[in-house]
Formats: sequence, structure tokens, C-alpha cells
Amino acid sequence: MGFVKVLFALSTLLTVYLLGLYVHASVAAVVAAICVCVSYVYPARKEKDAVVFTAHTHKSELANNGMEATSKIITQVLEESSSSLRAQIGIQKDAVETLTSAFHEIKRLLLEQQSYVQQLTYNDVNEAQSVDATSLVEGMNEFSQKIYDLLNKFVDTTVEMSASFMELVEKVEHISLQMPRALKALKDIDQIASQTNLLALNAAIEAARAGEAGKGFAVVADEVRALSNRSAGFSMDIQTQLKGIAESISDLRQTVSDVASQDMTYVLQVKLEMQKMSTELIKRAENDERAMIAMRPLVTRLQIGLDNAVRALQFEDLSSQNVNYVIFCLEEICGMLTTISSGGNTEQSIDDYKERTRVHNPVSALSVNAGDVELF
Amino acid sequence: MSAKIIRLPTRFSYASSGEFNAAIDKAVETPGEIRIDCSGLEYIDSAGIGLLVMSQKKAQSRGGKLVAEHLKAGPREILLLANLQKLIEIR
Repeated sequence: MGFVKVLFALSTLLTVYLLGLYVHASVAAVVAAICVCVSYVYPARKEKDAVVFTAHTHKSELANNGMEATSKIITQVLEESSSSLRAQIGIQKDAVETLTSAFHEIKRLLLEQQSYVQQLTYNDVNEAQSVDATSLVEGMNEFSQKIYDLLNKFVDTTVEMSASFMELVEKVEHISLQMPRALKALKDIDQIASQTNLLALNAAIEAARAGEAGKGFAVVADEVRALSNRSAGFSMDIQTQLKGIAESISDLRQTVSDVASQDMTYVLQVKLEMQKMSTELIKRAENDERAMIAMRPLVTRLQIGLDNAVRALQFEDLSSQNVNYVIFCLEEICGMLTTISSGGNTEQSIDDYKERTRVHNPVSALSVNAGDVELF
Repeated sequence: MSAKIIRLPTRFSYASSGEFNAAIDKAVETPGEIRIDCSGLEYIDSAGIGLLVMSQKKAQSRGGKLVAEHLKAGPREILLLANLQKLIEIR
């Protein structure tokens, strides 16, 4: 029963190859199972056949028929397995190509995203690379300080202005208090002018009574009257002017009062709001920068991970080579089965098989880390 | 020397200027500290702040100074926002 021996040997051989290569374990299991079953069935029958061989030759024929059928089934299974493995190589190749390009795209997007994040944290992307880069927080602090200084100047000016308005109000008040006094003084002048006028009149009367002797005195009295009239006239003019000024002062007082009573404390409210806002902005910028700093090593790790993934995918060639070798082995076994079932030289077939598979065996490199080669 | 104390009204604004100025003018006649009692003060506007600053200048020119005391939280915040602590002592 040489055929049974061969099947057993083949089953062991194939199982070792397939499992050894870690490829298509399911195929290995199927083939091994079939071979082992056949090898178990036939040894059992072999003993019985030895006893009754001569008496039951037709049973031997039946056994030959069974072996032929089994050989066909195994050949068919092996061919199907080869075909499946070929398809598998195609699927694997497509998947690896898709994955590789996807990983490259992820890496590109990651770098792009990182650049945008840097733009958010730094004013200038190029600046981010330099040692003395101005971070968003520093910029925000500077901006906040400038705004604060500016607002303080504005507040100081407003307070100074308010104080000046109050001084102005006081001065205008002072002037308007002086006005009645001036008018009263002018009234006194009026009275003096009036009395002078009366005295001049009396003097003129007395001069007339004195006759020729009083003629000169009469001229003086007339001049004094004329002067007193002019004084009264001037006083009237000044009073009219002063009344006009008093009205203007009254208007000014009203205007200054209106301006001075304008509440400018909204400036202080603005300052308060700006202080709160800038504090909030600085806090947020600080948080953003902290998050950015925390993100940096993550991005680097992600990049390394992606590089490793792409590197691992480059070993798809090796994997395909191994699967191709398995296909080659399966085809060799098919050929061997055909030779044996058609009554060929079994021993020669096994030797040929061993030789050919040894020659085609690819370099063993089961780990992607086997060669520590930088592929990028 | 007796302490000169001027008590501010509940609302210190332009409307209070006449009365306040009269009190200040009287107080600055003699040098020394003029204490502005703000315990009753609830509201102060920019005119009120202006009055305080002007009064401080007056007092300073006569060798005196203003001290604002007993301020409530609201008016205190307004005075500090106005940087008044740089000009007037706030207790």
C-alpha cells in the first residue's frame, strides 16, 4: 500500500509547510485533515486485505477505485486552494496599496493640521520655528497691557477734564458774583454825576446872579455840567455793556454747568469691562498654548505610528512571495498525485518534489523587524 | 488743630458743587488734613470725581490734603477705576 504511505507523508509535509509559513492555515487544516483521514482508513484496510487478498481480488479493485476518487478529491481541493490563494494575493495587494496611500494621506493631513494649529498659537508660522518666537499669550499680554495703558491715559484725561470743568464752573461763578458789584459801582458814579450836575447848575445860577463878575465862573460851571453829563453817559454805556456781558456770562455758566454735569463714568465702566475681557482672553490664550504643548508629542507619536504602519505594509511583497511558494507547493503535490495515481515512480516523485520545493523556497523573513532598515 | 470733616451726600454730583465748594473753601483756609466722610455716599459721577480732584489741588496749594474715608464698595471701585488713589489718599 505505497499510496497510503505517500498520502501520509504528504499530509505531514504539507501541514508542516503551510503551518511553517503561517499562510492560509485553513487550507493547511483542510489538506492535512483529508490526508490524515485517508491514511487512517487505508492502514486499517491493509491488514484485512493481507489476509484475504488472494481470495478477494475484486476488493482490491474497489480499493483502487476509492484511492483514485480520493486522489481526485484531493487534487480538486488543492487546485481550489491554489486558486483561492492567488485571489488572496490580489486582494491583499489592493488592500495594502489602499492602506499605504491612506496612511500617507493621514500623515499629510496631520502635518497640515499641525501647521494650522501652530498658526493659531503663533502669530507667524515661520516665527514658530525660531527660538524667540512670540507666542499668542505673549502677544495677548502685550496687547492687553497697551490697551490698559491707553485706557488709563483716557481715564486720567477724563478725570482731569472733569476737575478742569469744575474749576471753570467756579471761576464763571466768581465772575458772575463780581458783576452786581461792578454795576453797583457804576450806579454810584451815576449818582455822583447827577449831584455834580446839580452843583454845576447851582453854580451857574450863582454866577448869573453875580453878573459881570461871575461870567468866567459861569463858563466853568457849564464845563462841569457838560463833564457830569458825559460821565453819566459813559456810565450808561458801561452799564449797557456790563449787562450784555452779564447775560453772556449767564449763558456760559449754563453751558459749563451742562457740560460739567455730563456723566463720564461710562469711561470707567469701559475700563472695567476691558480689564475683565483681557484677563479672560489671556486665560484662554494660556489654555490654548498649554493644549498645544501637550499635543506636540502626541502628533510626533502619531507620525511615528503611521511611519511604522507604512513600513510594515511594505512587507506585503514578502507575504505574497510566501503565498506564491505555497501555491507552487500545492501545484507540485497535484502533479505528484497525478504521477502516483497513474502508476508512476513514487519514490522518484517525492525526491523531485523535495528538490524543486527546496530550490523555490523564498528567503525566510517572518518578522517585519528582521531587517532594521529605514525605508523612508 | 481740630479735624476738618466734610460729609458727602448720598449722591455726589454737579448738583452738590455749590455746597461742597463752600465747605472746601472754608476748610482750606487753614492748612492740614481735610477728611471727606464718604459713609453715606452711594453714587458718584464724573463731576463729583472732578470736584474731589479740584479740591485736592486747592488744599495742596495751601499745604493741606484730602483724605477720603469710610467708602462703600461701589463708590470705592469707581474711585479706584478713576485712578484717584494716585491723587487722593483713600482709607
